[in-house]
Amino acid sequence: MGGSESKLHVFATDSSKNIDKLEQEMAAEQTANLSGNIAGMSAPKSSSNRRGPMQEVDLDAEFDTLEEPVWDTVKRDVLTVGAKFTHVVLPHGDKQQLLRDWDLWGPLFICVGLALLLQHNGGTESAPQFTQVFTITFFGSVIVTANIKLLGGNISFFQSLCVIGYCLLPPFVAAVLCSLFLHGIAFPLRLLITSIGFVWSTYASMGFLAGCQPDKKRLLVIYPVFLFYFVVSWMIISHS
Amino acid sequence: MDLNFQNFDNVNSTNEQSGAFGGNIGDRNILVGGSVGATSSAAPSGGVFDDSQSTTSTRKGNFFSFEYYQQFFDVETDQVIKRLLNSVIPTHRNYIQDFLQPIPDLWGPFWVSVTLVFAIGIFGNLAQFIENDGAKGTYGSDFRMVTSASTLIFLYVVIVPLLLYGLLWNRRSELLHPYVDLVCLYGYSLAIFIPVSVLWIVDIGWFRWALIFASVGLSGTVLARAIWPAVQNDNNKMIAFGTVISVVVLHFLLAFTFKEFYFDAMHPAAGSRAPLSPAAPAALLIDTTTVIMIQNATVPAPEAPNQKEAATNTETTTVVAVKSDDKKRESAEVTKPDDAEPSAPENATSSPTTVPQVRKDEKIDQKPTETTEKSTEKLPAAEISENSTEAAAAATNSTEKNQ
Repeated sequence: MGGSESKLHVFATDSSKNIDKLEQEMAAEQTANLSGNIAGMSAPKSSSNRRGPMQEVDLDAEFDTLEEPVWDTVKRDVLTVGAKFTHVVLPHGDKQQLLRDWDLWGPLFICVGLALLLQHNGGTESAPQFTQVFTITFFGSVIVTANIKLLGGNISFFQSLCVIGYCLLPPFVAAVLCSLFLHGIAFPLRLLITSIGFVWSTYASMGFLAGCQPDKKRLLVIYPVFLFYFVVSWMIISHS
Repeated sequence: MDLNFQNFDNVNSTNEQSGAFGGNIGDRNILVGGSVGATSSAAPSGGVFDDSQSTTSTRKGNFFSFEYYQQFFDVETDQVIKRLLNSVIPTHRNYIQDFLQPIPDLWGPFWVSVTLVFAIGIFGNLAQFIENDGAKGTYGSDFRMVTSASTLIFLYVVIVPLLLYGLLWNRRSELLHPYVDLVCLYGYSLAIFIPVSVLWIVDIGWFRWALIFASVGLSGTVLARAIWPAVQNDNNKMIAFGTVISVVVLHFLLAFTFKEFYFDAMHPAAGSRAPLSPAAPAALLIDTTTVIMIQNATVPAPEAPNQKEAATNTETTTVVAVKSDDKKRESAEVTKPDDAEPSAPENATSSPTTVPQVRKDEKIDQKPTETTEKSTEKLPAAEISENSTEAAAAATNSTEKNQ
């Protein structure tokens, strides 16, 4: 009982922190030159101290965000996506922080890129169609995410979708290498590259998802993730 | 309890802030409120057993809510492993009463089915690849295997328990298991086919058949033991035994379908393999040979066999075109490369309607002077057809010929 209650409390705190973090990040981007805001962010995280600077920062942030050039917005999003990709390749730092700043750009690009790669290999009669690959990768992520939610995981739907999608980066790199440089030849080498991508993605996703479940249900969460990456790797090795 | 109260305070404070600002913060608060609500609703189900029961009964009515399905996924790893092991190892215990109750789960049925779909798709393609010695361009139907296997397996896991539940409900069984229990039973019973599909890569006919009988024997025993207590008290013993036999036969048909359509159907030389792997056509050949010998002994005229062969060829084509039974088609295809004679007696025995045609053809072909043969042939026709109308028609024909 104590454990679940503390988890509930932590979850609520994390949710509120998530909103506060988003607002603070927007403020930091727009008004870095204001020493008052910087001091406000560096202050200890207590609710009484946080509310005062937050109100001022939000007004400024909203006003400036509307007028910023589109290129600045795109650049900021690209940097965020790149940071997540870097974290998948080399896990470091705060996983919870990364989970709070979820987005679905990476998963979308990987699904589309993977579907396009596998579609154009091996001619039209033997390769899977775009819809088949996209369906398996995207809705496979959705089903694995639903499994985590049904098992009572304390992670939101889109956070889980974000993690599973970003962790498709190693298989995607394996698909690029096998399709562009080793198309139809050197099967053992393609198998090795695909296996490395598969193991890497499974390990990276477990780093994020294993902490969201009690120990008694961890295997029930990890197995569908394992199966999902196994199927994606099979599609890559057999159609590249 | 205090932590819950503080949690609620946090939500309130966030709502107070939303009043001072625009819609963006309000939207985020709605998301936060929703997620917190979902989390708090999960906590009571983990509490006291009685409370969880009352909560479950309350939530059963809300079929379209997320929490309704969450109760069927409230299962732990060791429970799933125990259910998997006992679904492939028959014991003296009842699977439903000892391993599934009190709380069946849907995690196992769902993920066992998904695993089996991809196992058949992947290893079926691998078997085909090995069969063709790694020749390129032979992966033409890989995704059709995945989609058709998923359709077959999910229909089996959803519809067969539904039929069984309908039967038990119709017979007012004392042990009317809930539908979820039956789905759970059937879902876990498919677990044995996952290692079997790996072993089916070995392209040896008798080995694949041995795997079918072993797997169906093991999991079929578990299924039969689980279902028998629910039907053994039925007033009609035929229905009780028929239900259990049907359960095992459907399980065998599923395994047979996997083997034939995902591991054997990809053979390019299917025609040459067909006579060897199935046992039924061989038995049919033996029976037809015996019938041929009998008919040859009874036919006195040497010219008659040639005419009969011509007639039987025509009838064989007609029968093949008319009938849609797969077994008949397979047997006809098997016997086509050989002589056409074996199929004639089979057709005669299987379809009474063709008998008068045979008799009519023979009467037309034979000479009118052979009156004694006509009289002898009438009696077998009457015996075989056992139909007064056909006998009357034959009598009418003979009367017309006499005139």
